Amino acid sequence: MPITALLFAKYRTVAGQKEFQIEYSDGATVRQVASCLEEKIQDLELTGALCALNESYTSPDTVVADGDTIAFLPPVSGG
Amino acid sequence: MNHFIVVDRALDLVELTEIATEEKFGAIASFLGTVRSPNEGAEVLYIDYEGYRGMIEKQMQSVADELRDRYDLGHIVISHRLGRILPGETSIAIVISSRHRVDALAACRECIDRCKDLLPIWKYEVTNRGSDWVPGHSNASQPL
Repeated sequence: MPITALLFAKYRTVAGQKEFQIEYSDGATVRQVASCLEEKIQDLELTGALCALNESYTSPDTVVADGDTIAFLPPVSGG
Repeated sequence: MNHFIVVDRALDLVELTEIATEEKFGAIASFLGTVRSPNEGAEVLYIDYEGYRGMIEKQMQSVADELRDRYDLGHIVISHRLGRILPGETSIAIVISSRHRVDALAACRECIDRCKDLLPIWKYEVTNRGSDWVPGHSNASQPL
């Protein structure tokens, strides 16, 4: 099951890139996607990140589906 | 009517106010957020604003929906600039019209607070003492 994971701001700079393609099994949660990225990317620490599913905020416990885009967002500081 | 604007150029309050102006609305309230220097004792050279563009307008819509649930409003204009912004320049501009002043004033105040909570935007601040990401808010949803 392919999904797209996006990292922004501080997380993007730690990872060195913004977008990742990840293969996942049915029933995987946003939290599991985060753990996968942390294992894959040295020094990436997503604790405290806000999560977005297809451009809307979501819970870390949301189950992801085929083709979803998951974004991990540092606490926001716009304005 | 709602108007959501995300740009990489200077925000023009006159232009945005024109969008919100209509004869039947007797009040127009506006708020500008600008880059401040000094900040925490350091001279700010500039701030680079990064945003999740696809999501910003959706969150602006959420903010506008919340405001319309509580206030009798005409036009809601929410605009944010991204990219490099210098001290004194505007990063966010909000213009809200209503039939009477109470609604526009209260909604404008609430609008900036909710924008700061919800818009997926980040600031990388460069000062004479160094540079770093500005700490943000986690009120939008349950964090990891």
